[in-house]
Amino acid sequence: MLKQELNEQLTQVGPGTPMGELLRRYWYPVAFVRELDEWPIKKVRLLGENFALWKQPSGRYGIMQEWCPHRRASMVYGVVEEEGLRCGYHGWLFDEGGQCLDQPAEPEGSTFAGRVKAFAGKAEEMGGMVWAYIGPDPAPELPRFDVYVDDGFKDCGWTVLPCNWLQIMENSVDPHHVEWLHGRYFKFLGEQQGFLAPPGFQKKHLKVAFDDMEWGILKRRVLEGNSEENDDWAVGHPLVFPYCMRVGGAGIEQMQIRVPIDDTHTWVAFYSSHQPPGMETFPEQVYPVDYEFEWLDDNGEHIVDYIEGQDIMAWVTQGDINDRTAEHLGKSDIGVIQLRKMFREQMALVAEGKDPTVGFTREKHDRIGLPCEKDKFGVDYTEFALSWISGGSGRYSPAMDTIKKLYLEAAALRGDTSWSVARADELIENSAAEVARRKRLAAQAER
Amino acid sequence: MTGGRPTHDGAPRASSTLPAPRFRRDPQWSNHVEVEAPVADRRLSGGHWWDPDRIAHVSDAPNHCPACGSGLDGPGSLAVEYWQGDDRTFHTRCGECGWSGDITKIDRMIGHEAPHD
Repeated sequence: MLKQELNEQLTQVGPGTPMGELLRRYWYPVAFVRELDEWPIKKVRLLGENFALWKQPSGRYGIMQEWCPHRRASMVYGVVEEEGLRCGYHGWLFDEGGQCLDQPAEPEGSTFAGRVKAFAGKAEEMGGMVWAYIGPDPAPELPRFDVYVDDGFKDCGWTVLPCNWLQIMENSVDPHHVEWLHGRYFKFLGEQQGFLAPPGFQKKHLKVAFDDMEWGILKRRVLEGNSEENDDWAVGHPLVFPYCMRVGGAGIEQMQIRVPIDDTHTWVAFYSSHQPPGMETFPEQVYPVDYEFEWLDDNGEHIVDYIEGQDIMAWVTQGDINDRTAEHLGKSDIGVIQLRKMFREQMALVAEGKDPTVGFTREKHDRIGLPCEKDKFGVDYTEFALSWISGGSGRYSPAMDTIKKLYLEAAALRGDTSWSVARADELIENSAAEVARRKRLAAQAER
Repeated sequence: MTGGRPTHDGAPRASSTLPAPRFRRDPQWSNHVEVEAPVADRRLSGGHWWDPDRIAHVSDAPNHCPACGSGLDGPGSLAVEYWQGDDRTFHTRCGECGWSGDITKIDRMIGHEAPHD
């Protein structure tokens, strides 16, 4: 249970709010590089504010307030030039720092342009995405997490959800939901609809722990049949403060990203770098594969026969902003409490004019490695990877077949001869993904 | 999205000043009529059926840090209620002195029985 005022402080992300000020100390992915290469300007809504993001011919990026300081037309309908972004309405030109450089209709010799400065943030490219910082100067370093900079086959499913980002983050420190939402509930659906739900997710949690760390909260679990020797406990995986979770297993290296668009909308992305053990070279990519995945069907009902769809059902049905004044927490919710405490500590630091101390760095670096299990739930690597792909949002990836072959090739490279295309296809044939695909085809045929 | 449908008591649904959510729809199989609840409507008003429970939970929450006496509503402070068996506990953190710990409300002290030899 939280008091109403505290729930509001924890969930409001706009400028001038305590949480909004904390969140403005971090970098966020706001576009794919692919998008800016297809059209060099994109409208971005981040933390309750609108921006125009653009890519200059030199390859540099800029991000500034959406509305032109002149007559408030949208800069999204502007002209990209060598020096910056020019408003489409009267031609005022702004550089990456927001300084007005040119006002074509003003009299010759006017110094007016020198006195006009728009709000501008900073934008950089990493891992095939464009990252933005809209907080106060000096900007911290963009954390170069392993998933984004290591070699691997990159695949990213994304969507926009109509709910506050915090309820999604709280799910990341709630390990018990795995054995129920992705275990018992998934199995129940499978029994009803004729598919095999991934058994690894059905194991009972015997013990969970949460450790504060430099980048967030490290989450550990011991599952029935396993011990503290298993990676799930010995290594664990972290919530990456304040808006991500690092997760994976069996060579799937994933960052789950939850960018607060505003108080009631969140851009959710599952950014995966596939690095099956045994494989050192990966198919060449110009950009990561990116695709929007579905979570509501044609009737407006939640699609719950895949892992992330089940999570989304839980996040979205909590309401646009979860009313925590009516919740009833138990001992199994201590991770959620620990996260709220971390947010409160960090909000107070920023309110005092200090830097956050979690998930934040001013040190230059090439790569930040995060702990993450390889042996996940004690399940065979290839089986886990194929279950993840076919039982998760990966089923919507246009590269699903390529990824499947990657894991089979890696199994062969490791000398594991128990896997073949036929065995993999049999596993997928019985998975929720295949049953869902057959249902979609049947529905299309009926129409 | 769901406008025009009656509320539980059959009265016409009050129109919201907020835009309709873009995605959320009632499941077709559901017999639950979901009342649109803009954020502002969730504040304690005494008019919601769940308000007495919320008031009860808040009424005896610790207001001050047990270590330094500072208010627990200030920056960096927190008091979150959770249950462990019969115990109703508030996990607390004080933004002023940094003290953090559990405060459990008890009705009576219960001790153990001394061993008989």
